[in-house]
Amino acid sequence: MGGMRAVVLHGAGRVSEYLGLNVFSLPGRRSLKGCSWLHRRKEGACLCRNPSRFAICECIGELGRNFTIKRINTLVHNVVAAALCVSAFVGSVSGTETSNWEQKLEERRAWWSLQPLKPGIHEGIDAYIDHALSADGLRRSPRAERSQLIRRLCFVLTGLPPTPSELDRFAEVEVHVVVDELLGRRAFAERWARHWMDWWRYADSHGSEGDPPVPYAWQYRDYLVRALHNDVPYDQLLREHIAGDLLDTPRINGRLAINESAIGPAHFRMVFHGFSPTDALEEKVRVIDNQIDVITKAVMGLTVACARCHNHKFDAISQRDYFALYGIFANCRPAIRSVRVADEDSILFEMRKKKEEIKQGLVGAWLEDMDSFPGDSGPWSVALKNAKSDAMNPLHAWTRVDGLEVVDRQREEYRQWKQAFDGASKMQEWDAREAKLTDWPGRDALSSCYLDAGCVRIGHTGNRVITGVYPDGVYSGAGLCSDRVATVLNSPSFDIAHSIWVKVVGGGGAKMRYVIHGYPRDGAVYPVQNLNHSQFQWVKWDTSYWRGEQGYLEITTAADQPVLTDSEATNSWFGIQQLVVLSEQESAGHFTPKTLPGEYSLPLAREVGDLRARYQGALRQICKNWLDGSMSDEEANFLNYFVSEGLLPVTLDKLPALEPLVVSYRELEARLRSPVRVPGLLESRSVDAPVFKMGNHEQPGEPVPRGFLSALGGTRYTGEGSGRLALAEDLSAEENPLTARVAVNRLWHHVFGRGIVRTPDNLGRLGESPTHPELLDFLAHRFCVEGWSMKSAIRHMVLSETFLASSVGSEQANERDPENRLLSYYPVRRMDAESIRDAMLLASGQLDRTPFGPGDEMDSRRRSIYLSVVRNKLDPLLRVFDFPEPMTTRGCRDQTNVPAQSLALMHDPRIHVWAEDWGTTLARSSLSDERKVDVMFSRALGRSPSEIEHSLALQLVTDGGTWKDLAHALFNLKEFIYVR
Amino acid sequence: MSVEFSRRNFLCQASMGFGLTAFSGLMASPIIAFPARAKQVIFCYMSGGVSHVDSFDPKPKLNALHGRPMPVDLIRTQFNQNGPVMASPFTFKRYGESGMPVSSLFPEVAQCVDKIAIIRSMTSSVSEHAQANLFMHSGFPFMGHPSAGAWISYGLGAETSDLPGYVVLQSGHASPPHGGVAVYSNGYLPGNHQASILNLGQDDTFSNTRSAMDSSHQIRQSDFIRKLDQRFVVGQQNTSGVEAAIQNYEKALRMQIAIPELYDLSGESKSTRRLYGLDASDPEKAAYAHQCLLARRLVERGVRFVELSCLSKNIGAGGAANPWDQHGKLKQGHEAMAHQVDQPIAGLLRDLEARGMLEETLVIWAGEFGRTPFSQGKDGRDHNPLGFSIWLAGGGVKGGTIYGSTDELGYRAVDNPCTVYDLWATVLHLLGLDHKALTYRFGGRDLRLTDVHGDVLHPILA
Repeated sequence: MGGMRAVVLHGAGRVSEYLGLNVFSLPGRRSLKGCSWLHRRKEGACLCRNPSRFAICECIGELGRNFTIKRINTLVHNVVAAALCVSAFVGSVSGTETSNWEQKLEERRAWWSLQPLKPGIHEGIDAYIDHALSADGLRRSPRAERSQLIRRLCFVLTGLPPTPSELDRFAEVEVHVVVDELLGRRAFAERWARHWMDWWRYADSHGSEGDPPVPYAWQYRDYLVRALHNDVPYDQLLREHIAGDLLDTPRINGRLAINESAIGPAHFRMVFHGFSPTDALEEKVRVIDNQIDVITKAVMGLTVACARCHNHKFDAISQRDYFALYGIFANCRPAIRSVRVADEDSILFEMRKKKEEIKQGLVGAWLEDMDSFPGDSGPWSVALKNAKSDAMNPLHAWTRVDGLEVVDRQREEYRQWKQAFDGASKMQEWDAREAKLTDWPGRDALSSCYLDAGCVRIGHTGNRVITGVYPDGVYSGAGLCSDRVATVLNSPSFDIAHSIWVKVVGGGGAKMRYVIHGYPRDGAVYPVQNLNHSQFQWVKWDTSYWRGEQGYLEITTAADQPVLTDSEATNSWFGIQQLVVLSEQESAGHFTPKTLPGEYSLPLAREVGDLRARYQGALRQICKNWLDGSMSDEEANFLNYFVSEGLLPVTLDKLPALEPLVVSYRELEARLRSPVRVPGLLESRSVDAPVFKMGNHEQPGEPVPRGFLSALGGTRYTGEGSGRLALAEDLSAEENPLTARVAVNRLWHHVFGRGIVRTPDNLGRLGESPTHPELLDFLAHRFCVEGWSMKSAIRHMVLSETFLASSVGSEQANERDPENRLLSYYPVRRMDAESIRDAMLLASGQLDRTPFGPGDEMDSRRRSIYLSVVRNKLDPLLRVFDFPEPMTTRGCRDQTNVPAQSLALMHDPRIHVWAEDWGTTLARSSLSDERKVDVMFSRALGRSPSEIEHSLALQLVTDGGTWKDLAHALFNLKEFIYVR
Repeated sequence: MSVEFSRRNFLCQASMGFGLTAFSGLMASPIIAFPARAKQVIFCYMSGGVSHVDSFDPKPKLNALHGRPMPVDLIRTQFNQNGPVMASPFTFKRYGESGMPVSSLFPEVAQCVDKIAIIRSMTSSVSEHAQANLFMHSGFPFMGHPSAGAWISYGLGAETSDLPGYVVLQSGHASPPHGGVAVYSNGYLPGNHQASILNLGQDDTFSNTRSAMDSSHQIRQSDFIRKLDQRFVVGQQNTSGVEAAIQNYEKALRMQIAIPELYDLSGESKSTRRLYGLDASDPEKAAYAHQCLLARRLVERGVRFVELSCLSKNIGAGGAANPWDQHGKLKQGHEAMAHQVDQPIAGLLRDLEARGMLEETLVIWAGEFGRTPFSQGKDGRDHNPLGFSIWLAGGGVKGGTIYGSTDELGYRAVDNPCTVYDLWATVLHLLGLDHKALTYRFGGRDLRLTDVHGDVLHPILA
């Protein structure tokens, strides 16, 4: 939506009173699509109507009815003629901003959050808090009552209420023992991973029409749970989030045999995607804008995305800073990545050796069998019938004595076409046989391999020994070893012209698309080709709709499309020989795709006897060439015909001698570990992106070197790759004071219900000032020194007397510090949405503690973190308690207080079911009614009922009610949803 | 509505947990800048995209060029199956004193043209349903921003303590448009401004507000809850949050009582039922009429913003989320859809007028975009965001007005092109709000329904 994010340029009123028209040209476009209108408004401000494709219409509106289309056209024509003048005019506007900017930037650099961390002046949290309290003549409230404290600790650390037995046990031990036990639980990691997911706007679907899943998104959630459970240092997690797939020494999880670090970048993919946008670049710009927004807010509490159209209005962030980051992410493409770590090399080596032996066995059997050519079995009669009507068929000559001339002619035509095609000047061409596609993103020896002509696919189940013999090319499955290997192959970027041609083979639902500006979904103008043909074919797309845009080709196995994944399809494969991009002229008439299935120039004879001998001779020669490795493409295609049609013996029943080999090959294949797929990015190139004038992607300006924010050093990223790796270092560097401040403030926010800076996502000028700046620096400094351990930081906070204080404030505190900014007592707060739901399930004894795996539907009884976050169908119960829409960083959820929450607690059918089940269980139990009431209070509220409460509860049940009514009533108590 | 009244209303709402941020923001800036002409809004949303050249924007040129290629350059369409110019299968006639032309699709609404101001030069920035729906509702073509109804609820509060401020009605098999319930979102505004979706089920009750227990049960249960909640508050300081939650519980109980009363149509006369078409044999029409009548009853009770939902006839790509989306079979599809909404909407306008409510009720009729003047396939039309028609009626709108125009093909808006921002700036203006001052700080910016755009469309104001 760059087009609509216009800016009001204050102070630009010096622009003289005339209509300014900024026209820029886009190659191949003569429309008025890129017009931006500036006109002077009466009140003195100059409003820039940012160009959209409707700019011309808006302009006419501004100018009034006198301007007809014709007059506008004349005007545009004149202005285009004087384009230099117009550019200068626009330059002067932005120039004004720039000249002040250096000075502004200097001033803004003085902002508190950009200053280095100051060393501590006190020892411990309480000293800072008490110091501020005593300055106001206040004192901290005494420690909270033990049962309240246990409940508080349980909710803050694990998001779950204590069970009655825990209440008893925890009452007997020191607080730090309780804290250590809670920190060690997976429930802690589940709780804090969910906080983390708010910071990085976790979502399981892309939104918009169709709302397709983000495939394997849940792997990222599980990664967070594991990482927090193991207390992986915060700075390490940050590096992984930005460039975990690129780290030299990644974190390997030996038990799961995965590269944990490589899961980090999954958050990049949790963006909102429009459906089939007609402007794909606009979509890409919006996606990257969201990535920049989330990263800079989540890590540094800076609103860098505010500087997309202009320099930041308040903070030390320039528009160039924005585009220095933009360039990094524009170099990346959405992709599914496999994070499986396994020593597959040796298995693949063995499989290749076995293949060679199988090949020899096959040739031996075929040569023996050759005299029976042609046979008369079922496949032969079918093949001969088909061959008769198809002059391209390798057997055509056999089927019709009078057809030889036709065959000759067809083959000659094909030869001519091929000569013309090979010789034609193409806009772009990649030939696997020459370049082996080694520069293609995603090319990696453990997934795709270049193979010489004569490569084979072994049947992985069933009766078939081999399923095909192929010419040289780049193949999936680490070179046709296994269809289970996840393979992603991307071409370099190219300019889209008239048409794209790809020569491919594949099966099992492997998918091929041309991708415009990285848009990963399909649509009428985003076609997808399923590869299900056993012979190489040319696939051609007319791409004139997208002429002038940037695109690339993507081929993947079926479960490895960035969005269009068929995760059930675990076996698929493909091979590619050529990718050709043609312009209009080149695509003219005679360049229709031609494939000769058996591209073998068999010298043809005129007599049957001779023909038989020639076919046999040709096949013998091919087999021989195959064995000594000198087979040609055409020979492979010719042989593949006989193999795929079953005209040569290729099945185990006919080749019993090969059975042990095939069995051991299949055993080897079974030893290959299944891929573990995660959403991620592919590095595609190392280029800088142009700044977009006023944020408009249709007005690209000068390229901006990729790099870090100028206010924080402004390192330039010139090395290999997108720049992510360098960015990861800059973000997590200790010299960057924002990262640690933001991190500890976020932790503090979740421990105390609000941050030391109450706007945890904004430490800039529009954010709030810290209530305890020295404390913030003390904590941040300690965090870095203690190895960025989140558990240690949280432990430190919850063991402070400030945390352990009662939630009752003194009278003086209420008078002098009504908002409790100084934290003289622990703030009472409503539990968040997930805790409310989880507490109901736990209290009623129905919480399913199964961790990990794909997200659940709403009726699940697992913890809320395991519910799918489907953008168009967010859980209404969680939403009403302020579960955020996953669109941007949310370090501080709303704490609304609305009747809809009461209505939800009263009426949500799931809550009724949970209450019903709890009630039924209790009704059946052998406990006395009195004891049942005690148990319910203890489970729901973490305490025993008072005498009056006890009798009220009993009354509710015995006076015509049920245990379910009491269960449901307890869920509706304010005490149930508040922590004090 | 007087300014005093609404200010008092803020205070009242503030004590109900109406969001102190909003409250302080409102007092700080003069968002109530104009005398209000309307108190409430009924939004008849035509999801899927109504063809303007077949409804409110006659283009004789299409007849002349029928079957010929489009004579102008075309922007990319979503389906890239652009056919030749296609004449409208419907005929236009002039109506009312204003002589405004309306096609044969809307014979009943046509009788009301003198109450209606048509904008023939509406534009959108996207040609895809979900994003266009989000754009039309919130000014941004992606989720996360508040819908206009939420903004208006935030700006003015509700004039009822028994019902929510922003209600979306559904009946029969109506469902949210593409984009899902995010289209009705409160975005970053406090949660009480989120739309309450009231689904008029078979038994005429709201499933999400109906009591699951019989009432004596519920009275005993609520008595228990009340007593324990009071004990919880006693002895704590600074429990304003808890107290507000307790009040909300009471309000929720009151809402439960208000809703059966709202639903009870026994007081509506036979002629009113006939006026709306409540007993029509077309089940979708009857269902839509039910929404229209409920909309009137909701605004009568002080609900600020009511949005209605069309029901799909499943013709030519028009599914549940996009009933008007006739990529094929435009004639049959639009006929069926117009038949569904024409009489109920006209009935609503007449009923509001007869009760003296039209003066202070703004009725908006709009889809997310128009349709192309050229065909898609043989008998459909693709999406066209470059120029289309919407209309407003009632509260402060100058009836019989035609504002703006598209080119002679109905392809692009040329005369006084309008944006969604202009529409909402105008609506806020009619409600007495300055669209530039109605802001909410989020993510480091003071955000608006109209982003950094929007001009009030003074020519359509009475």
